[in-house]
Amino acid sequence: MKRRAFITKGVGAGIIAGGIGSFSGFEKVFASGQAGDNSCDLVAVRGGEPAQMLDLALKAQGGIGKYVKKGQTVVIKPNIGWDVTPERGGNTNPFLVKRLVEHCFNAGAKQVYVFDNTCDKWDLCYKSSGIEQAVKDAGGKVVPGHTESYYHEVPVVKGVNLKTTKVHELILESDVFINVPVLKHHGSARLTVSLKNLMGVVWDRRFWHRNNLHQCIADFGTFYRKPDLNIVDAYRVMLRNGPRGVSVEDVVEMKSLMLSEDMVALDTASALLFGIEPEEVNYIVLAEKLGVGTTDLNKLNINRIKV
Amino acid sequence: MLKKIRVVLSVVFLLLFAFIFVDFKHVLPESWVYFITRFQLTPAVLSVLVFGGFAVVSLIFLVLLTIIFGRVYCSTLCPLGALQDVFTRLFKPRKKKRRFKYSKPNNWLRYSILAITVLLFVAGNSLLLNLLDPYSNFGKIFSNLVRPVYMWVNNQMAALYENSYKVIPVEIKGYRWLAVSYAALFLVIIAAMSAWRGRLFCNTICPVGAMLSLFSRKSFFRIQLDKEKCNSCGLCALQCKAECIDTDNRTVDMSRCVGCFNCLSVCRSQGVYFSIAGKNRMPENVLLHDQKRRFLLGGMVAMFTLIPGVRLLSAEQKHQQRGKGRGRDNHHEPVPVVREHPLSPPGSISHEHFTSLCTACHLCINACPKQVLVPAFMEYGLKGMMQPRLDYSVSFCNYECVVCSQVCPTGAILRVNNEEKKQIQIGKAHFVRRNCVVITDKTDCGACAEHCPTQAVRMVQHRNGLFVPEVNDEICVGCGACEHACPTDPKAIYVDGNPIHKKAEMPQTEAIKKEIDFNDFPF
Repeated sequence: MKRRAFITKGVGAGIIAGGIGSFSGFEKVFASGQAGDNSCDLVAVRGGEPAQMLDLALKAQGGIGKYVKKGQTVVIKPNIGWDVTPERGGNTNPFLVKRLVEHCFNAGAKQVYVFDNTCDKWDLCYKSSGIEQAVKDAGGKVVPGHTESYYHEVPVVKGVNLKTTKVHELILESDVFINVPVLKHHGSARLTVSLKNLMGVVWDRRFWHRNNLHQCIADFGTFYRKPDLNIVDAYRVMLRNGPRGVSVEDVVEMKSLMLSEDMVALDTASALLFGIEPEEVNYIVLAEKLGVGTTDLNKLNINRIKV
Repeated sequence: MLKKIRVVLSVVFLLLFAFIFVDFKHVLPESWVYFITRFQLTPAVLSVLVFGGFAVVSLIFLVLLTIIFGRVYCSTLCPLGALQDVFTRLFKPRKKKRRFKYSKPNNWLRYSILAITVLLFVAGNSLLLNLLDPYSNFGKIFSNLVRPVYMWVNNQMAALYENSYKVIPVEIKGYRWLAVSYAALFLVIIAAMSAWRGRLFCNTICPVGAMLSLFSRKSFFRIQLDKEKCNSCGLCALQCKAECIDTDNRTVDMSRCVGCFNCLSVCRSQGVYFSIAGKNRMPENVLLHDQKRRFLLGGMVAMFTLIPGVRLLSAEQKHQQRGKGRGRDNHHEPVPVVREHPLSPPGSISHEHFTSLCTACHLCINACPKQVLVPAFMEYGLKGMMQPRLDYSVSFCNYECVVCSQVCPTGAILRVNNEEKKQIQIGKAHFVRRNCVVITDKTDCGACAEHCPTQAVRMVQHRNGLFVPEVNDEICVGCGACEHACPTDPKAIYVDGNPIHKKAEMPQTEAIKKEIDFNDFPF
């Protein structure tokens, strides 16, 4: 109860800071000062295993220590939306999540939480996806997100259609927020990657669907508590019938992983990897307009790693 | 000693049954839950009718138990009996006045109720079983009145220990006023009757009690009053919840005795004993009575075995006839949504099968991990009131789940495995174009197709780059994920129940042929 009262107050303060618009920029200055800096805007790895590709990508960025400091709490948001096994490509790869939790602890994290507001029954999703076991094995903590009591109403200051939404308390209170989507086909949003994956940290998704889905996805990209890091799992990619998929035959092994702080850039690169034009994915275009990130990959410093 | 054993057993079974009806965390595996229900007469009888074969074991056990020891079932295995004992004890008069006294049997009433219950059931109507069966009503009481309290306490604990994430909150949903009111009313009636006259319910209204009384009347072991030692002091009758000890004539009506053994422990002159009948011969007129009893018993057995078979057979024929006449088309469903039929759980074959065998114990409602099952109002008609139906405003049916079919104690929901279930079509999705946000607001949505496990609902090109849902009801299983996810009001997609479940086609897929170059970065 105490913590929830704290969150409500803390969020108010955060909004003010976010409104001024100096929050994320401030962090960046801090981070680049420390990392010695040969890090890039976007890292893409191909041809390896999930954990191996994560190791390589993080190493290229100078280690997870750039994002996770000693004694901090970390929240990891994979896609655990569906009661399907890892082969189906419906959820983030459990080996990737496991390795990421290990990296966080190695960097001195105090606690690592993992959750998703699932579409199918939460405990079945956690189990079938293999993520619950993976996180436990790595010493992290899986947390449910299935009741409204975990979510707190916060304003989305720059939102066009989405002015307020209820966000999971762990997103609001954790020191570090890492977004780990799986790249998938999506029947209506076309594609689900980083921006779309954030639908799993809010409570009322129906409102998003009812009030121009693409605009709401883009709007939430402006929310002050952005992921500190986004890691796209494109090891097994569902190319059709997404986001749930019907069988393993919807899935192709692409053996890729990409990470960036810029969700728009990452989603743009993911669209190209997936094989569609980024402009077809309306929320990417809208998010760029709102200043969430850039679709112009030519301007970015991209590190391409082949295993 | 016998009383102590009885008390221990009844407490154990009371707690077990209470637990399986409130265990929303699903601590007990389904197979255990199912096994526990094997000790109840109504589920045992119905299972034999549905499954035959091995299911007969528990029925034989219960009948033999009664033939040998009398109605000990009512004092040990029946959770509603134990609950009544709790009330009897709670409302024990403080001052030592007369508690119980011998009363004449209410045979006319109890056997009439039994006969009507059985006849209605044979005619395919389980309403009286639903309303009167002790096991099912114990279930209704605990799942509708006690479970929400347990959930609420859990949520209070979750709020208290929120930082540890150890206690997980649960949504308290799916309760319906009819079932809650009926459970409350039944509880009050039971409490009042047991406070007033002990096992009055068991010996006047309960169809299971009446059924067992036919076997217990001449059980091998009986409570008997010793003609020499008994001094007709009446102490035992004072303690007899069944009011079946006639100390003036030193007889015990074993058709009403529930085997609580209170009389044994209270007798000061060792004049009451429980042993094999025969020491003291019954008078002649009882034997005459016995012949009548046998006739009645034979009739009951016949009804329970032969006629239901005929009934089930004729029901199947009806299904086939109806199956030929089908082919209705619901493309022009009016806005707002009008549902023609409710949705019964996968495995229940048809509404007719389901409603005629379900006694509304609500065990499946508790077991359902998605909480999609709710007690019906009049959706199945009067005879199906309080029987579970799927309510997609609350939740939807999980594609990879067959829990309800694993716990159903009567066979109203037949056991199905995951693979079978994926082809059971309990209803069909209907798309109401005029309500859809893609049409009305010209924005993308796709919540329905997103949740569809078979892609029976899929998004197809509309205009201006928008995608609109399309339903293929050949592969729709009627799980309601689309309806639940649909953000519009009224819904733009809804599922209408199949009165007779159908077989859905498996979604056809073939592997994607795509060459992947792991050295290629397309950006």
